Amino acid sequence: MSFESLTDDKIADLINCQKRLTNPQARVVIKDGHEQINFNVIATDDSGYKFEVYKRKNTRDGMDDDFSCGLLWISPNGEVLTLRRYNGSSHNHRNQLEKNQLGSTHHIHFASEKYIKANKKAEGFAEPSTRYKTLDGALHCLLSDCNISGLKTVSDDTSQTFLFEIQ
Amino acid sequence: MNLDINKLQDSLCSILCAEVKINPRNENLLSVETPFFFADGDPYQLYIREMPGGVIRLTDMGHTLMHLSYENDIDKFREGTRGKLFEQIKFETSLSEDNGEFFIETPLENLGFNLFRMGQALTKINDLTFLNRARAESTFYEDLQEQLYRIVGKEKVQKDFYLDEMEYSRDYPIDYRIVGKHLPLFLFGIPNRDKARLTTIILERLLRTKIDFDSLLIFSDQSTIGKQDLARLTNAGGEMIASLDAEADISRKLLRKVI
Repeated sequence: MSFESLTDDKIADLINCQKRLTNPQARVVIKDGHEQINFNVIATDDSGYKFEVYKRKNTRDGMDDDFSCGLLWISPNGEVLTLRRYNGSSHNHRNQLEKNQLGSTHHIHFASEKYIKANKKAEGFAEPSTRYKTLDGALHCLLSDCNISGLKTVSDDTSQTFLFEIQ
Repeated sequence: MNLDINKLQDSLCSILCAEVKINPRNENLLSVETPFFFADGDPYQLYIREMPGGVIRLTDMGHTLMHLSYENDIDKFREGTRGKLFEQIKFETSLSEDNGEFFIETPLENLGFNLFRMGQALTKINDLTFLNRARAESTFYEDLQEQLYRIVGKEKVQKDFYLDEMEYSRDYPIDYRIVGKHLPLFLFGIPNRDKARLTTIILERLLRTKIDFDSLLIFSDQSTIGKQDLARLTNAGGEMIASLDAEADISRKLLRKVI
């Protein structure tokens, strides 16, 4: 399956459907100098959609701002597409179609029909964000924005905690 | 040619210079902005670290493999065909690796050359992501179809065939129906274990309908299919070809059955 026919409506459907982590106890693995955790996620409606949530953190000295978490959709043939990704501020993202750069700031990647139609990576568009400062804060935003339950997370804004506790 | 080579040279140099910026990151690292980007618009993260003896280390600080790990199992970059290519890329581009960190050490006078070489190396490593399972399967079906059309002619091949006289035929697709000398030939491409199992089910179903047909099963790599799966498929199916590389065998077995 290719993703050429994916529309914004379908992407919204994938992001908005209710989802649940099935392995919240997944452990951190250190691989090639970074921390990895992969969570399996399923839609709790009757759509049968499968997803993966990942967390990555560069563990090298001076690379604290090099982190990322994201939501992948696993299509029926096994190909994956990044629906959302929440990045640290380690780099200066460039939106190729809008021809602008975000500077070294925390930013969120969004899958979009516009980028797919332009033969770009689906999640090529990103916007700066001040909603998180840490990887855990980014994960909180990701789970909240994408309707994913099953894991306790903490917002970097301490007035919003424990919204997504293990059920 | 009316172009002024000197002007072109100056113009190109100034454009390239404008694309490269060095900024302090911390007391040990300088970050280098370059025109090299991942497909999603994030830049390659390149840094300069001063090493003893006036040597400069151009390093990605391990970001490249972390970035590729978002959508890929990076362990697979070190196995089989991808592993060989991975090592070849590192060798060709003089790229060193330490626990997932890629770097090139260079004297100052070769910094520009090695910056380009580093960009080239990381691009090649990034391209290894194209060799994933789903893409390999897609390529397998394209290659299979190309061979079929070449050997028996497109007009004799019906792609995605459904046997209408069979109940729920839409649930039992046949990859290709080919006009046979005596019987229709049903051909299945088998890139993986799941397809091997599905093909066994489809063949069993066809046998139950008691229609006469021949079958030919062509694997992407038969050695990757488990013994039990292969045994079940062998019982249900007809002749087999272990891989698309055996073109002479495919041709011989096909032409024996086709008008």
